Amino acid sequence: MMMSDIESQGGVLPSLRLECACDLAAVRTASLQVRDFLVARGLAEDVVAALELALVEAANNAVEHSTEEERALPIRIDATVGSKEVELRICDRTAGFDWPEQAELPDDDCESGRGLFLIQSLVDRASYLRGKGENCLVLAKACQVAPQAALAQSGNEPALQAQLIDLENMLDGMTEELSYSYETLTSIFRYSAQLASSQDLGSFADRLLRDALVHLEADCAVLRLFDSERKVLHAQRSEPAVTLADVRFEDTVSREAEAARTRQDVWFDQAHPLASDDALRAAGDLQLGICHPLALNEQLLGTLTLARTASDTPFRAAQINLLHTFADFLAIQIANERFLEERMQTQVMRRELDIAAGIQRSLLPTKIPSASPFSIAICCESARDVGGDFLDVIPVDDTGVLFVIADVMGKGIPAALLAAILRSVVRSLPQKFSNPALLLSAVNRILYDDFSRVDMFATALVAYLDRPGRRLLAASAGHCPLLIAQPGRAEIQRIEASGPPLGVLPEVGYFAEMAPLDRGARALLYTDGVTELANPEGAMFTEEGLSKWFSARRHAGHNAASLKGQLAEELARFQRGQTPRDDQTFILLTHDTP
Amino acid sequence: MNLNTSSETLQITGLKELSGAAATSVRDQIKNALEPKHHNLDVDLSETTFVDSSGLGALISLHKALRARGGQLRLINPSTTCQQLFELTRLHRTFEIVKR
Repeated sequence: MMMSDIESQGGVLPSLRLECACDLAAVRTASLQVRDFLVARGLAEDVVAALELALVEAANNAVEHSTEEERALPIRIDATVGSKEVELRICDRTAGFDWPEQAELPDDDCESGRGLFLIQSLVDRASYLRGKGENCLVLAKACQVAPQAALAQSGNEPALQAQLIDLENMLDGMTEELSYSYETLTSIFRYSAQLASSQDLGSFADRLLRDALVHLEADCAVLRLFDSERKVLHAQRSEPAVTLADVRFEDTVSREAEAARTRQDVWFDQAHPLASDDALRAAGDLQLGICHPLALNEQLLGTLTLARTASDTPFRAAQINLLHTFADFLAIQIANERFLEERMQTQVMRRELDIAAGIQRSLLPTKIPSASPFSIAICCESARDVGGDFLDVIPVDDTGVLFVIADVMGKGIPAALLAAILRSVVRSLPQKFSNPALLLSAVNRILYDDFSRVDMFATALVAYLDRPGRRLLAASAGHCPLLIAQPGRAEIQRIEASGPPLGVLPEVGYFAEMAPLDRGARALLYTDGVTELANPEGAMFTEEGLSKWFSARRHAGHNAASLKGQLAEELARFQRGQTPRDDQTFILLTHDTP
Repeated sequence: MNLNTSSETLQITGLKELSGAAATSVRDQIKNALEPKHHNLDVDLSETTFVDSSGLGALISLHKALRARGGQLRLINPSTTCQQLFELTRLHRTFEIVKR
């Protein structure tokens, strides 16, 4: 590199001339020489830094536009410090390029193309003189101090002056940074206190939006909450208050939806304005703004948008940091409120299940009729999610007993209420107790309207025990079969007698099956909660498992109460500590020989 | 320039300048050092005194590389001059700038 410091001794302006090779590394070295020269002239650091960068961009531009041959020729740099401005001249020997009137920034994702924009932004005047075989770029920038005055003083005064200006600039920067840090800190303390004391998202959000407007020097703030069921961003609040339409999550026009989908800040400004049909247009004539996604633990909660109508000056980095802090607090508060809502819903559901369980308990027969020489035992264990199982045992005259076991589709209060209705209807038809088929047809006819209106149905099995005749007459509306074990036979007798469930068809003719009971016979009526009981591996108890268990106990010696205890133990052993998901309901009938 | 790994983050410190031809080489060195386990990239700019448009290009290229793997590029403690450069080129909207 050739360097000739033609700094004047008096009268002539101080200047520096350099020649550097046409490559990027040499340009950088030359720019550091120019920097030292400008610093020694007492120029402020921000002016020096701007000129240094503009010079590097200009000279790099020349290098990048040169051919192999042109690269052999040096670049000449002149720096002149005047009383009001500094002038840099960068002369190269390349073919040159077209100098734009107003350089534009490329897209944010573009990795190049910012050089000319930087040059034009960093200096007050830039002119490009394109000649044959030589081009000269002249850059001028006003100085903050009069270098002449600084030079006039003796010794180290210029350097001291420069240091002083640097310190002042640094102080200005720190003051701005500090004031934002202070705002951020006080906001954090205030919001922390509010988070602890209030559970009202509305007033918290109002306060926060107003604060955000002040600190970000914005004119419009919009908070949207994400409704994950409807897949829309619902306009929750805005400052100033305006009515804003919901935005679909998949909306390709809306910047807010884009921020929600990408989970990244999305900007709009004059270069990238809002689309004419963007929902944000209803908030006013927005010149510039930022849409920030609100999320907590990967879960999208909404968006927060801050915008300016009165100016198109971009937000500063410190303001964006502050926006992110505000958004984090808002996200916590939204998540808190959603958690509380969910807890309340769980409580309501718990209460509903308690009521349903109460109804179900009230349906159980309070007293089991004596039916010697038969004995009867019942079991109705409610699962955690109360279902619609119910059973009834009704004495008929002096000679018979009617057994009813049913499973109303569904769970909770609706199923429990329909079970209660079913019980009342059955009990209102005593003249049909000894004829299960006619009883089921009548019950179905009465209940059909109620059941079909709420789109529900029930399966039921009705069995009439004729004690003197020692036989069972059974009819079923789509229910699990009645199982009968006789002491002399290994196989279990299944009485299916199946017609459609109650509430499916308005008119159904059911038929009954008769089963004689040997001495010592036993019968089992149950709901599918027993056979569909699952063990920890997910395997079910099944009807086969139940039949096997029942067959092993066909011999005399167990009355109904003892068998009930054994079946309950068997089921508990099978599920190995799991809580059953469905009710366990069954009736055991045994003929007890002396 | 120093490269360190802290759990899922590749940390770059001691970067004096990010300009001209050096910017491209820094970019390539960092990209080569990125391993599948690196989810984030922290570039400490506290000692960086000079960044030009080539330096910005290198940062954008790294930002895109991190975004492609679902992670994030964070710029730690840039000087006031660097910060002003990001604001001037509106890249402070793209970059996550962290002050510690």
